[in-house]
Amino acid sequence: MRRRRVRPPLLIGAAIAGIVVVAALVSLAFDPYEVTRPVIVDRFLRPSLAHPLGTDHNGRDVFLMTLLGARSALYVALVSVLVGAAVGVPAGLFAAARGGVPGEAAMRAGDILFAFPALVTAAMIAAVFGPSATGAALAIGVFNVPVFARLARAGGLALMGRDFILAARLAGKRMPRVVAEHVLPNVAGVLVVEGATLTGFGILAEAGLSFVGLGTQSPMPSWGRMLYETQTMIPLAPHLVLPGVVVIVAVIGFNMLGDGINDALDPRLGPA
Amino acid sequence: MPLLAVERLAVAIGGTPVLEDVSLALEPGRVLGLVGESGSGKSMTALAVMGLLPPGAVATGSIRLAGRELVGLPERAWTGVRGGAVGLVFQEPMTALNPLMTISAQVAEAVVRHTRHPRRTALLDARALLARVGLPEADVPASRYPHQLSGGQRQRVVIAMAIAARPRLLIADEPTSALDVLVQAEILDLLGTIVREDGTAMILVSHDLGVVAGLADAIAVMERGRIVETGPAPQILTSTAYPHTRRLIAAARLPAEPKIAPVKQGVPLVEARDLVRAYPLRRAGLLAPRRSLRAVDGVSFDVRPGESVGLVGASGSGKSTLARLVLGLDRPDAGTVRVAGLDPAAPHRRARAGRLVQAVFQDPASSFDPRHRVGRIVAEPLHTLNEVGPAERRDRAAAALARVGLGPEALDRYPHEFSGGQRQRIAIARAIIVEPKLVVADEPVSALDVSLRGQILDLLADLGARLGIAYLFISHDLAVVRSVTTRVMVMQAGRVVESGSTGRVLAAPEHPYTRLLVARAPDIDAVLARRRAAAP
Repeated sequence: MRRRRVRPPLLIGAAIAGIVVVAALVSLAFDPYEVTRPVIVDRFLRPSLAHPLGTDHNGRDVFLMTLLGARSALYVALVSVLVGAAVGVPAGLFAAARGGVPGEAAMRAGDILFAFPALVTAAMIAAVFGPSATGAALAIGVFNVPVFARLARAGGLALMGRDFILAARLAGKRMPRVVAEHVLPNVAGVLVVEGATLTGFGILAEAGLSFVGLGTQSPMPSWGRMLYETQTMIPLAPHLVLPGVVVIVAVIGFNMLGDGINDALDPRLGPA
Repeated sequence: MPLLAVERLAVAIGGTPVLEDVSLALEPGRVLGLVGESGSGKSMTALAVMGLLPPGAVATGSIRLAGRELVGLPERAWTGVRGGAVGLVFQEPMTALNPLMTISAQVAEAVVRHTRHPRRTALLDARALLARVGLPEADVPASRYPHQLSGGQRQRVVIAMAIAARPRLLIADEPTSALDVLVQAEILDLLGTIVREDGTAMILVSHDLGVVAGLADAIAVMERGRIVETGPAPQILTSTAYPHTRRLIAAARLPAEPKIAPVKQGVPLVEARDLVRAYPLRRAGLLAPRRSLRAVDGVSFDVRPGESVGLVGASGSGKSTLARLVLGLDRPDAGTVRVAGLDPAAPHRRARAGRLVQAVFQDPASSFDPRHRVGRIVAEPLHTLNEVGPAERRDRAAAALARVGLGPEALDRYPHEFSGGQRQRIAIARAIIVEPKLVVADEPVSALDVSLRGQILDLLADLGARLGIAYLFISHDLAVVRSVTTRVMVMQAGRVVESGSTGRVLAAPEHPYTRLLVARAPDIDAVLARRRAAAP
């Protein structure tokens, strides 16, 4: 047996995703400046030992703000993925197992959801309930539902005709149990891959929604709102562009993680 | 000078030799049968001649095609050989065809790539080729896509592509293994006609001597990467002294005597009455009437306890649909089926029915959840017995495995670690663990090498006798059914056209369709008799 070589994209993606998660965790415990409180006298400080990435127009530490921003980004991204998976995967598996009119109906309902862009949905939720991070997460999550549903259905359909599903039914197992024992574990791989990729998308969407004021609310920092607040001051203090760079790197990182897991799971690609 | 001369060919993958000292010679217009069990190196030999060895494989020795050395040829040069001087026919026609191209376009592409004909006339050439392989425009429009054809028709398209460039050598690797008996005979006839008319040489690779016997002029027998015997076909088939070859011949010649005693008495275990199962077909147009395909069309039969009944027919005759009805995996549109008085498809009865009826499926690769270990797989039917704890499950799984000849160490391994024959044993262990009254065996040996068929059939017959299991034994091959059933039903287009004792139906078939099935079964003795009659 040849050992599978871990491919660079998986390593890089996992490292970036790991850094984002660690940053969010660190922000929970490490806050020496009470960072969300403005200290106007310290504004626009260049990077120094006290403020490794300088301060913004309100004198807040950019490094610590960015750490806190990771928390907002991950919160919205993970909730959106969990919402999407929690609704989409059962719906997709139901459509695959049941087929016929109920299955079709479930999938068409997903198509209707798919027709609303996440940003529009978020704007609607914000208009009704007021803007919030959770609202943004739900809006993006709604958009994720049909993505997971389609994946789960496609994977499920490919398995439903296999003889081991028939054997499980012959053993007297009811359909929900057959799906839980035999179908879900066999499609879990693709779902995890999609989850990683959609987490990246969720981070981007959170930044976008917060940029237009529909996402994470003040005083909790968010990468998107940090960029919005400081966009006119970047010529003055170039270090304030950091949140934008962080968003790009995080999105690419989660995408690479998804692709890397996909390659690692797909035996056809094998070691090159 | 022979057309193809392979001398001392050796192939190693990652330092492990897979072929050693293989030498072959083939004259134009002759057919070489390359036979052996799975893993004997016959396909690897064919791949080497086609320059399609897997990455990392190193070939040494010599392969000369019409005097041109092929070993060490760069990949660019191979493209002119493959499909040009050498035509290829693979086992699975669906994967050999592009699903998004019409059949005429695919054949035309092969014409354009390998001849100097312009694209305009290539389509006409393609039509002619399709007509030649038995797909005339009138019957099968050239604008069809592969998925609209049957397996045999698809294989004909592949053959049309293979002969598009008028190759001097055809390589057919298990060209009929995915096809049923009647279609197999037709495809072999077609290949024979091409060889005769074009003077093409052909290498016919198969695990089944019965397939090779009818066409081959010479036969080379392979075992563990070497050619162990080679010679003129009649000589090899009738008077070989080599034990491995004798085993292969014995395997292709299934025992004629049933090993199961007929059962007369008893209340029927399975009662099927006027079963109908129809599938709606897509409407031809918006206002066209909705039509349906009657896959099972008014079938009635009984199976008595401990009795073994065969169900024979070509693919698409409805046998598998009938099996699903008996298993309760599908519901009939009309008619009833009862197993021990129960409706197998009634949800609240499933638990009990599951202990009465089990199944062994055709494809050992798709029979098991790849993520479960064998112990869990075999014990799955125990699921309905709540009183059976984990330790007892394991014991019973081990006992079931022992019954099929596998040791307890198999419990903790994964199905992909086993060979095809072993996997089919695991499938049988799963079926018998609840000691069912009826086992539906749907083509249980057609995915296996002929050399394994006999073993699995013996095992089934033996378990049936010892555990008092009744079988509904489904196969497209009458010869397979012969050794394990006492009664047989022949299905055609959803109906049972003939039924009776297996011996009588095989010896004196009454329905023309049955007669055809009997006549076209690949049977070494029949082939030899035909060859003797044809010999001058």
